[in-house]
Amino acid sequence: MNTMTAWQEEIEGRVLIVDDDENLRGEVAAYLAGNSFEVRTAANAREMDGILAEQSFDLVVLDVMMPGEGGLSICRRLSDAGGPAIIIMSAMGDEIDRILGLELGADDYVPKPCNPRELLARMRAVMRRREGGQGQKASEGAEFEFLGYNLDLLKRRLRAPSGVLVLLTSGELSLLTAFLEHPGRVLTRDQLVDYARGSDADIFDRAIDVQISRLRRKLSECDGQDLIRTFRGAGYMFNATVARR
Amino acid sequence: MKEARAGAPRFGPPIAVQIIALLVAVLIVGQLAILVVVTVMPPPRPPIYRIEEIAAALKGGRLTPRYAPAMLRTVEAAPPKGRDDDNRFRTASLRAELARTLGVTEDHVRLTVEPRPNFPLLYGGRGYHPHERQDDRGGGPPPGSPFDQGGGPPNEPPSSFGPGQVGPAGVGAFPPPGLSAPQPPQSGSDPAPPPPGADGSASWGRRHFHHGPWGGFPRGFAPDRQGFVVGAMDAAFEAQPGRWTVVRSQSEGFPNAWQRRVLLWFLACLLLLTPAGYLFARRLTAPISRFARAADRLGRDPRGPPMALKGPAEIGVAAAAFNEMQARLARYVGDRTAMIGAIAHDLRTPIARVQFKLQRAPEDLAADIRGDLGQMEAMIWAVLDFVRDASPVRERGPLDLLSLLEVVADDATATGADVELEPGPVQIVEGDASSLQRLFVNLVDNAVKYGGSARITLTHEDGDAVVRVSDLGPGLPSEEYERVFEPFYRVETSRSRETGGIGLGLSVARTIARAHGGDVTLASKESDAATGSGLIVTVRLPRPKG
Repeated sequence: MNTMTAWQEEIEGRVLIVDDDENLRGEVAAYLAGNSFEVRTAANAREMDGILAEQSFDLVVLDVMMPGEGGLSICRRLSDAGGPAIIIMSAMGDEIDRILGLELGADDYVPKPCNPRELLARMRAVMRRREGGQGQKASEGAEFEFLGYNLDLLKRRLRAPSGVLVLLTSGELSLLTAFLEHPGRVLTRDQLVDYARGSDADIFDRAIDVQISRLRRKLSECDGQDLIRTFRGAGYMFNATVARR
Repeated sequence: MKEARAGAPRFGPPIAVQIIALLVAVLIVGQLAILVVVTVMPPPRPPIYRIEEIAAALKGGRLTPRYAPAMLRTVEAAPPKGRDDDNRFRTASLRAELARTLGVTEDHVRLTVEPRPNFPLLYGGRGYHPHERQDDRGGGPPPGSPFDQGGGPPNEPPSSFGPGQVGPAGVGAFPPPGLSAPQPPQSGSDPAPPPPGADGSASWGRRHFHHGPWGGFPRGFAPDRQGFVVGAMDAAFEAQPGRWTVVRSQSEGFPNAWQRRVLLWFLACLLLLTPAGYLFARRLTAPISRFARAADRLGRDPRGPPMALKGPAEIGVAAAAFNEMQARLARYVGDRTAMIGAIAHDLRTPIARVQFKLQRAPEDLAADIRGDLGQMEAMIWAVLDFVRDASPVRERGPLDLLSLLEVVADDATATGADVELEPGPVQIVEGDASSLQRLFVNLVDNAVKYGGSARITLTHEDGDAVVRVSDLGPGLPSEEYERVFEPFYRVETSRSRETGGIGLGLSVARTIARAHGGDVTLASKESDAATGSGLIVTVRLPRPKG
């Protein structure tokens, strides 16, 4: 309804905030407007549809628990229609809700209450991903399959061929993702660090070798040594066919 | 009674009915056992002494009669006292035959036949029943009373005896009728055959004893031509004046044939009834132990499965009431938890608002308030975790516990905590990854908060995966070990500290562990100078079988 235009010349993007709490809506809008976003707000799905019909947005920040049509349903609708990027901001905060939101087409998920700066950082990251041509939703290609293993990036879980669930630290997850995205190629340590940093989790200060050996142990239902081969002086190679879904 | 319990058809009959049924069954089994013992086993025989055997023994010859155990021989100054008089009529002809066989006059011979069974335990040694003395006066034995035949009216006609026992009493060598005990083994001296050729009725014994309660005469015994004595006897013979040779039957020690029979019957009943009694007791008490288990379960988790409605009617009714109580309790706990969760949840939106408003506040004030908000947020998370973990475990599956601990340790280390995971074997447990992760995050957080550091080990003991989280902190007094698991309970020192938390961490941990069939317990570390004291939190989780 009320449009807040950034004072700065350059506008980072246009954001629609959908939340039934008027006070919070106003606060978020004020904060984002102060950070060079053009912001509009809607109290429910109906208002949101009206505003979306008027103009296009780069991003929708969506509450989950709202009277009328809920956030998850809106999320699926917008996502199916190929609409703007979506960040879910919800008080539910449970992991299941996070995964459900992401599977229904959200680009990211922020628990409520959240640090305003975190919201800002995630918004920027999502918009960057979209602009960079990786218009990929978080749920797309979030699963890898190799040698009977299944890696779910959303749930951060690896399921072994025997059905045993193996949990990965964020470092191991980044490393494994880097390998899975470049199977059959020898990757130097620097490349690995690079690829791993590029992903969401950038905690990667442990020594690569330690991470690799733990990964090998966790992949030991197949021959972990053979799966991640060491090329002395060159780096490591992931030696399996990888299917991405 | 069936109609009264139409709503609960699974209940068995009431306990009272079951017990009565058991008693009736016991009675029937006992009676059947008697029947079997009586019909299948050959009846015991009384000893039979032929007059010529007695005479031989009195003369110093063989002491071993053919159809009786060996006799005892003594030499005494006087004949056995008074007995002869008592049995005068009864044994008169036998005594005469004995005297004749010995070749002396009857004055030098005494013969006493004991009409009683000889049960030392009942009568005290070779004592006599008080009624015994009535025998000579013709007291008839009441039928069916083997040990007491003296109670009948005196001079009862012989027809009152059991069939085929005495029969035409008084024939041949027989004393006046009605003296003998028909049933007891060694009682009665009745079947004394007449002396040879006395009056031609010598064969009465065969006729009447073959099928008697003692099983008749032994094989090969021909009572026709010889006088004989049945049952315990003593005979005396005055070979020289004042020198009596006495020969008596040996008493059959304890247990005699009838006692053995009773013992056998008792043993048979015992063998038959013990398993039945055991099964019955099991059947009766199984529902009670089920009750105890259900009550125990209820104490741990009101949302546990309800008790099976089986067993006797009374127990079934009690179980139904118990289940109803458990359901109410679960509803109550559920409502309360849901309310706590709703409050915590609704607090998050205002906190989010404050966080955004803080962006406009002066930075020093904002930092301060942000700290407070962080603490509130942590509490809300704790409450929501608690509420969530009070709900049933969601997706369960095999899980690499070591990898989970690595993630927990890794995340904690990333925030700068001193957390170390000791290398250990891979343990697969069945569980829900996110709740288990929360369990160990709570324990590691506690260890870091109160003990400064956390050291995690993973082992397996008795089929369980065992995780120990230890710290180097001050530990806990042992009386607090159970209390700290109560929701919202905090030890005194923790309130004053700036440690935050609302006393749910351990409670949540235990709830999760128990939902996985395990448990969380506390122990104190052995105090030693190098490491100081500290607390060890032990988590046991069952490993899937096979």
